[in-house]
Amino acid sequence: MREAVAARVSIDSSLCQGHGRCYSVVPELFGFDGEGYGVVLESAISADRVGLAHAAAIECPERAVVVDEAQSDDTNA
Amino acid sequence: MSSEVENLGTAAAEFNYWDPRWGQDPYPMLEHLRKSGGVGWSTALGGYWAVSSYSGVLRVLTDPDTFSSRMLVLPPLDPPQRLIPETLDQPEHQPYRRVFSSLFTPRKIRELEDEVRTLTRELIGKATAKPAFEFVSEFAVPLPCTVFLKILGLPMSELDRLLDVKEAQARGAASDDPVLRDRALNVVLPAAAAYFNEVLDERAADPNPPDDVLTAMVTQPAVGGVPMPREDMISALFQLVSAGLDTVTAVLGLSFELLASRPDLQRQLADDPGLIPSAVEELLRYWGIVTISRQANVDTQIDGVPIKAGEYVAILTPSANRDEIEFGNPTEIDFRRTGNRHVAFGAGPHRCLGSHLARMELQIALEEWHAAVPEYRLASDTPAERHFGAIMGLEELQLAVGAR
Repeated sequence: MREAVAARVSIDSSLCQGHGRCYSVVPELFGFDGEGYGVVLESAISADRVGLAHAAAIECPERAVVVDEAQSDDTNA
Repeated sequence: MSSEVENLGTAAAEFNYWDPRWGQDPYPMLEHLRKSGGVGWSTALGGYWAVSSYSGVLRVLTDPDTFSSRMLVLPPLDPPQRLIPETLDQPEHQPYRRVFSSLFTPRKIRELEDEVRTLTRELIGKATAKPAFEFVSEFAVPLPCTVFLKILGLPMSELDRLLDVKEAQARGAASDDPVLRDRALNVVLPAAAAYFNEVLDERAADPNPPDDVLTAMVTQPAVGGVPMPREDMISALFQLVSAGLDTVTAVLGLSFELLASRPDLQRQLADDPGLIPSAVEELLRYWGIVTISRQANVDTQIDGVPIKAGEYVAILTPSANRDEIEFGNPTEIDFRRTGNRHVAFGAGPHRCLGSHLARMELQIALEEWHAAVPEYRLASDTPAERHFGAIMGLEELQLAVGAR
């Protein structure tokens, strides 16, 4: 059964400079590409993971991690 | 008390971050600068805006179109020293940076972990075999320098020469002392350029080149599908030597001085090694050792303060990282701090290329020290001598094993 989508997580690639804070702090949701820039492993997250997404967002010096809770359940993951 | 504030006010108008007066404890001055608005004019160093607020520092770092990197250190040198890739602006910067960035990715750095751990254990074993030891020369210099020279592709036997080059660049070339300045500009730096040229020749002729920075430079295209010009390779080596041989050493020295006087913090790390990654971030925040400059390309503003085209600004990271508007209890060390958006590695397109390496080394150093040494302390009652400037740090640090 698919869990309800509570938020969408993204990384603004125009802001990300590869500090690596998101994937160090929350490896559950973030990884890195060949050059060390952050990538989102799971973009449509359930309510129990929203806290994790915010935990990464508040560590990003570039403010590149975006957690959008307004866009939730009505579109497909 | 009020006369102290008055004195700081007078001193702020001519604040020179190289002045030995601020070396030992710059923090009351930095706090004064933040409380006076965070962006203030200083008549020192040819005249510049001292940017001490977190918001101001972040703004300058993340707006490279407005703030050029062409002059990284004040007072301005004429002509400016071209350091690749740090003094390049866009669009020139990106292709150059790419040549180096492939050697400092998280994946590449992970491959070095075992080697770094082995070296760390050896250095700790040697130092702590004696009742007291000098932490900087016995650990904080050899650990990062051994690793860094390997990544560059230069032999450890050249370390003393390269430390001399780093010193000549960091302090000699801009020194008020004509003897020091002459030695730096006319002896040390030209000799180093000749040496770099020689090793690049050797590497270009090597049929089986190792995977390191020298090889990347002579083989990888930078601009227009061809490797960068030789003078740019030499400039890049100067930049790498100055960025790589001083910074982790400085953070280790300052952090272990603090830890040696705080058995409670040592115990936290020994009891819960899982805390170490966030402890590394907290120590990076607490020290934020780097102060570099930018030059405004156009009339602009920082935190509402008008800045004219051509004016210089100094980015006081050691102050931004303790800005009470961004960080709760900024003068306290909290290894469990969250929301730690420190700018110890800068921000924007020039974000420190070696940050993953630095973090890995700091993490392993903290893990291995606190696993191997139950308690350590300052061996001297005299505080270690510190310096401010482009890279804060301390000259030496006498430590002893065991509780006081």
